[in-house]
Amino acid sequence: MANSTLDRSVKGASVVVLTLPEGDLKSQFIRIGITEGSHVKISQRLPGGTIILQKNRQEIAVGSDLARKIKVILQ
Amino acid sequence: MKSDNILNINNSKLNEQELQQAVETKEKIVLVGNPNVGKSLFFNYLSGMYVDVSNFPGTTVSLSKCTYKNFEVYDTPGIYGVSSFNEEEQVARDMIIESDRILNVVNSLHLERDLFLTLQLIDMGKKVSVLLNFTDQVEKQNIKIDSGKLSEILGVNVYETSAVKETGFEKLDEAINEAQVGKQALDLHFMLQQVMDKNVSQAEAMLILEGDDFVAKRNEVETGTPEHRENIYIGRRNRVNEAVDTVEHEDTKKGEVFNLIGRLALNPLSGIPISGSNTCSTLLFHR
Repeated sequence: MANSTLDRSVKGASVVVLTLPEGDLKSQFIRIGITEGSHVKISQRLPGGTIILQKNRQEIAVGSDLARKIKVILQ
Repeated sequence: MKSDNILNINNSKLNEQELQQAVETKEKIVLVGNPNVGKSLFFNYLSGMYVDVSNFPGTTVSLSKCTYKNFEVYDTPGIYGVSSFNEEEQVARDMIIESDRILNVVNSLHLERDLFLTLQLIDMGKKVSVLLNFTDQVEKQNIKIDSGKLSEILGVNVYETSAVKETGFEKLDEAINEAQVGKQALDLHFMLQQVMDKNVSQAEAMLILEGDDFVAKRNEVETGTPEHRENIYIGRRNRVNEAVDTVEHEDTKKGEVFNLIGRLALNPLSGIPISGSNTCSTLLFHR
């Protein structure tokens, strides 16, 4: 288990979200089901650094700039 | 299709002022839901008119309005929650505040995401009926949703529908008539009451507590802090997660197959052939 940021996570990795950026973005993540402590899987890494997160049946695309601001624990 | 339900303004014998009055006294029904859940298909059915429907989010960018029986029906842009984060939310927010009844369209495949908005509408004290859409897809993926249990948890009626196959549409009248105020979070009551004592509606009080500056200024009261909003949102998120754990059961093998197809479609190497074969089959089918 090691601390990292979402943009550095490799495809297929399972991570726990440690911190989300404060403010409106955090609220929007909570709405769609991702909170600090959520378990998510890195489903894809797209060209340009966009990360596709998978949580249960839901897939969420996170842009590279935002992915740099999300701290995670690799499992 | 159902054109007899449309108020025929041209043939009406009412003068303009009387007509305006008649429209103003009609109860407002608002279709609310996350992006791409099928709101516009329900609107099409109720209005007998055609509004743009496409397989991507953001198709409805403004309000559409029609008359159905004794009600005014409004279609709203898809939103994940009620607030002022973007233009779609601002358009939907004011319509929700002014609504008399809400038809909340929910994607059964994404209960975890969609029920957040449902609970927010319930916390706002609105009369709600939930239309559990995409039930045909749920069956295909071997997911079981106990809609009776969900109705019990939410405190509002839940109707299983498939807008694409037009199943469950016969229950729309009942859904409209039986829309009711659901079970709100007990810990919100005290906070809501403090704002409502300043002559603010429950719907607006909820948004003010959640830090909506615009609604707070309009009512000349103080906005809730970002910490308030986060606490309320986390509490609501926990309620959603508990509800989903209780009502949803999944045969994971079939779900994994659908997820695999989704992943393949995103990969540049396999996605382009998939997209090409889809285009070819569409062209052949339409010949």
